[in-house]
Amino acid sequence: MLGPFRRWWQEFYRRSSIQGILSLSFTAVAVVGMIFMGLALFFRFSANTNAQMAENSQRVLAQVNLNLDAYLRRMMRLSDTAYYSVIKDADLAEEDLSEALDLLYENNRDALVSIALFSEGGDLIASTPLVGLKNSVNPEKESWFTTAMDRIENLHFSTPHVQNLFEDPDYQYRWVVSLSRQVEMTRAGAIESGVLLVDMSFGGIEQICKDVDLSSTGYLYLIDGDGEIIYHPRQQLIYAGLLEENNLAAAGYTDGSHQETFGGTRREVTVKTVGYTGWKLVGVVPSENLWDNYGQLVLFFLFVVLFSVFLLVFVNLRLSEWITAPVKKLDRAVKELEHGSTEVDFDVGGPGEVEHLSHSIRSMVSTMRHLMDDIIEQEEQKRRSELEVLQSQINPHFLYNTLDSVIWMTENGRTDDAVVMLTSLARFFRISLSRGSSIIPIRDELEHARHYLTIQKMRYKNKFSATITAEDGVESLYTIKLIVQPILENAIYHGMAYADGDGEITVRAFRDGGDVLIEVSDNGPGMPEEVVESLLDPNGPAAAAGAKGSGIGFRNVHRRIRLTFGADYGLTIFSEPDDGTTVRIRLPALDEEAARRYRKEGEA
Amino acid sequence: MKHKVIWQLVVPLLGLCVLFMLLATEPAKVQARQEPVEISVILRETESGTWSATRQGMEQAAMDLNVELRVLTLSRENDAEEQRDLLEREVASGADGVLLIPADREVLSEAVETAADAVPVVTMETDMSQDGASGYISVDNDALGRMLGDIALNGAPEGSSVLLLSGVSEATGISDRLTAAQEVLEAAGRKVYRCVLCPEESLESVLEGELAALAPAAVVAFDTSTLERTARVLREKESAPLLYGAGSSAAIAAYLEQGAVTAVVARNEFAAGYLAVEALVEVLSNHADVTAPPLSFSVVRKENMYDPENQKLLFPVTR
Repeated sequence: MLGPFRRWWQEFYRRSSIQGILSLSFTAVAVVGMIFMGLALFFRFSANTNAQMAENSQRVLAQVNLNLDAYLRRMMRLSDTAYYSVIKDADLAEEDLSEALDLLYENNRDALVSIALFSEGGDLIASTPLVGLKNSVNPEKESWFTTAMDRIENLHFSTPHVQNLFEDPDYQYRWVVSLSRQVEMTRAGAIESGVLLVDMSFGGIEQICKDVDLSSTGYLYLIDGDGEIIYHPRQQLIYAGLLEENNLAAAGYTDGSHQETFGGTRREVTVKTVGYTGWKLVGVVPSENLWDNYGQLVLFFLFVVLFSVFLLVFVNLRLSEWITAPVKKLDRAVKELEHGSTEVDFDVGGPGEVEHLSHSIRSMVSTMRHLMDDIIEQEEQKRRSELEVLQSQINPHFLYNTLDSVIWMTENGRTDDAVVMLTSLARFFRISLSRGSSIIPIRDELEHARHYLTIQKMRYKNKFSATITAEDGVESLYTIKLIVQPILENAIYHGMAYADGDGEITVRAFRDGGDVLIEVSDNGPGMPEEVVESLLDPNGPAAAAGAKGSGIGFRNVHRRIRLTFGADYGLTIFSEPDDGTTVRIRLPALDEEAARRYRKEGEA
Repeated sequence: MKHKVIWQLVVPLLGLCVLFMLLATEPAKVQARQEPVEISVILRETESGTWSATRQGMEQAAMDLNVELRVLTLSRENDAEEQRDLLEREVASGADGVLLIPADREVLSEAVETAADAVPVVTMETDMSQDGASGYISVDNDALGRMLGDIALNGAPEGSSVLLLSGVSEATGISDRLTAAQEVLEAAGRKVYRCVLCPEESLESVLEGELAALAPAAVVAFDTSTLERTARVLREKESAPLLYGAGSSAAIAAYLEQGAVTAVVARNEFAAGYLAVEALVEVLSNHADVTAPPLSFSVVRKENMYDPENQKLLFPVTR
């Protein structure tokens, strides 16, 4: 599960810049923190709001309860007045109570429908404002009558019902709540029992309960102790069966706030019991209504979060840019260094760690440069040493050959020739030494070759002829010394040794663009291609020590030229069997100034 | 560079836009109340007294469903032609829907068809869905008629005559009730006289004539207005036939209590009004016809009229 995410993160981390990671991390941490804080505050606020709303509902219910209680007590006082001030003191045999009851009714007509007094048998004794009892009515069978007679000590409030006692010319059927009580009356000195009925207008209760502000979709209803609805803002819908209410369950609730789910809706229900009657005021606030308010809050919260995220992204970008600027500068400096720049500024500033890092890199680069200089120096020294070793291979080799010739001449009594040869040898060595310089004019190199040829021609009894020519201006150019002689030596040993006076060696020096070519050609037997290739191969087979023309000379010259002037220079051999051999020496055209530089490098 | 511009210019700009939205809009105003739906109610009577409970139901629904009601009465009872004119006028004046209690299905057929093309039309009492009406709220007229026939059997001995009265045209749901009752009564061996009044006729004079001519044992009135007026006539008579009828109103309750009406078949008028408006709003919301189940009804007599359930049925908790 976490594997792919980790891989994705590692890939993302690898591809991202420090600034990007810092920005993202800062923003993510800040947003998470903000959301966490926001949610904590939001839920805290929600809980507080819920508590406040419940408290508000309870306060509203308490107020309604107060009003309803006052209203009911007013009705009870009215009943008390009718009983104790009018009925109890009167003798029904002598007095008509209608006038007194009329007075009471008139004083409270806003809240009353009728006041009526019935005998124990249900006969109407007095009533107001209507006086004609309907023929069809049997008051003694009505529930308000029987309840009053059953529990004589109490006042009884009925549930709403249609008042059906009196003839009404306007056919008005009013919904009333009946307040009934058992009364004792005097008739001709005798005490008899009866029922006093005060029918309260349903509108009075409605006035108290309606228009109660319990949030936009909240409402309040009133039930009796059994859950029978006394008032409901949508009472007729309930009566018509178009709406249901959870009134029976609410009858079982204790006073306070409750949560209930009814008709698929979660509701906050607050209950308050009305004193004396046992009725219950029930305030209902659907939870959706609460969330409507929260919805607005959530919207506002989202707005704030969104804006903060934008702001954070901006601030974090700037912040991370500021933090990573020295690192990025350091990175650029290192890249410049990688591209070979020598003037790199590592002074990037920034915090201590980055500055320390830049100092370390600068120090490291400096150390590296010194090491590189040392390595170059060591390489140069190594090259020089090698050159010197190669140089040192030439002289003994040639000396051996020449002395071999002098010995041969002396043995044969050719003293003059030996003198000439030794003279040439002396000149030869003078040029070889050249006061220790390895770079000499081509003129001297050719002169050196000439002396060598003189010696060899004498030795080989003029079996070959030799010509040395140089293009104008070439002789004044410079070369490393002792490069022609080893080539001549090979030409003589391999090309002329068996010639019969017709051997011919030509040495020719000429310019080729910026280079100088010295070609040594002979008309000897030539060489097959594989021999030619092996001659310049540094890993080629070496001839036995002391063997004449073993190829050491070729390789020696070739390596010396390359070590001195580079891989573009050196020897090229053109040879075909029976068609002679031409060895071309390619050198850079060095004037005196350039030669001095080489001389310094090589001999410093 | 382009990247930098986006992050350093566009991002703050977006942030400012959000701030602007935050300050410029108040979330509380997001849930603005919608415009109310305008519904015209065309009655078939000159005043809405007999429809008061129904009207209360309509008004309750209007309050619940954000509807503006316009209740229109006729200058002469059950004048279908005037209803047709009113229907056309209301549709032309931009009513969102029409609730119609038709006085004559045949006269109104074409007008309803035309109106239904423009706005939804829901009828009460008389089914006009064949003519394009989108809904129909009523009791099952046939069942109600049979019920009335059944209860009238008690008041009319076998072989006696029964007068069936209707103040509304033959082409209405009321007439369907009448036909069903007639079938029941005739099947039970009663002589049935059917009297359907024209708008021009006076019920009182027609009734006097019919009573004198037929001497029926029972009279059955099939709509509220006719029942009320018949009861008023019969209670003045010494030996009046028993009166049965359909409908409920305060006057009918009084006549029932006085014995002028023997029994009524009553529906919950409040519920009928509420459901009619609700059905019309549903049609307007869903753009589809509504098929409502028939309303229930029950038989109320003097003996049980104050039973709690019948109190709720006959006497709306009016304010």
